[in-house]
Amino acid sequence: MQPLTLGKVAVRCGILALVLFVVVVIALKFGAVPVSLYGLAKDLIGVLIGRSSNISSEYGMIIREIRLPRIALGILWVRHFRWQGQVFRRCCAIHLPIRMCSACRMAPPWDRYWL
Amino acid sequence: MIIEPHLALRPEIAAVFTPLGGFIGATLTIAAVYLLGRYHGDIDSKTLLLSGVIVGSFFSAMILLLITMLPSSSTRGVVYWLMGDLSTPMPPILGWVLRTGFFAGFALIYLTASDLNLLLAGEKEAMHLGVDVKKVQLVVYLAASALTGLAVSVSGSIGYVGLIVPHLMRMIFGTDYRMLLPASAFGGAIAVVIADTMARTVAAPSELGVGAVTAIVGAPLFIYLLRRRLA
Repeated sequence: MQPLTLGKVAVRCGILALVLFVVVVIALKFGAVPVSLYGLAKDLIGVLIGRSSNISSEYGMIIREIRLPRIALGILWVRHFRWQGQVFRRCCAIHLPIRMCSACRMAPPWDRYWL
Repeated sequence: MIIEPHLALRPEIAAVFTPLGGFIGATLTIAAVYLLGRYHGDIDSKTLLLSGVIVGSFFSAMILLLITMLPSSSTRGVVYWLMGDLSTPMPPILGWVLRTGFFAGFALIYLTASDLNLLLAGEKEAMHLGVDVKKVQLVVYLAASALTGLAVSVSGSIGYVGLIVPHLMRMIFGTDYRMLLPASAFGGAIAVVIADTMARTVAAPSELGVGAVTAIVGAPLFIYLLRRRLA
């Protein structure tokens, strides 16, 4: 069994963040007013890397005032609510086999967390 | 008795008071479930679950009672909010509260990830390996409940995301909580953004409740996962 390292977690989270970005761009495109997917992705990347401070004025209001706030709320909402499943699982005490528990405590203190 | 509309607050104040009232209600519910779920000072899983079900059904009855007392013009808004609604704009101050609460809760729960991994082997085994089981349970229960309260107070209840997504992420990334916690966060965000997009576009120009979309997709998926685990 491969140990879980900080790098592995970062890479996997990076992939998930990329998927989230794609989903957000697609979610911003759909709606009553059509928005160019290419232009939107270009604008958003520009804002994210700091090359531009604004989304194109053609659809800026729809994106900034209507679609983006609710998408941001949806993302924040889940980051809070995701724990419910974990707590539900702990409360139900569904115990799965674990192969690394003893190794976790045997490792040196600085390695314990990321063994 | 009918609750009169003139008792309603100004919109900008109501925008803050609705989530505040929701969070206070959630905090009281958490305390009630915790106190009822304790048995001889310990948190007993089954008692906690049962007390959660009972407190939940009691407050559902209270909500129904309040809805029957509202004027019919307000009923649609209440029902829509209860189904989960992301369309209401959030005041900036609430955004800050939500973000601060998220980072505090995330840090608190993520610090217990190694202990949660050991708890997978069982409470006694974890205790023998040096985990303060009671403390970890209490921290996770309180932090998770407070985070849930914060989220639900802002947008109403959007069901099944917290049940389905962690299970799916566990199937993809394994059971290690150090990976599972951030993966569930990203996976859940992806799921809600997709559900919200569907809610906005499937029946356009009218809009469905996000909670209804997640329930329609989530319930069969949850049954499938349950049957798969039993098999």
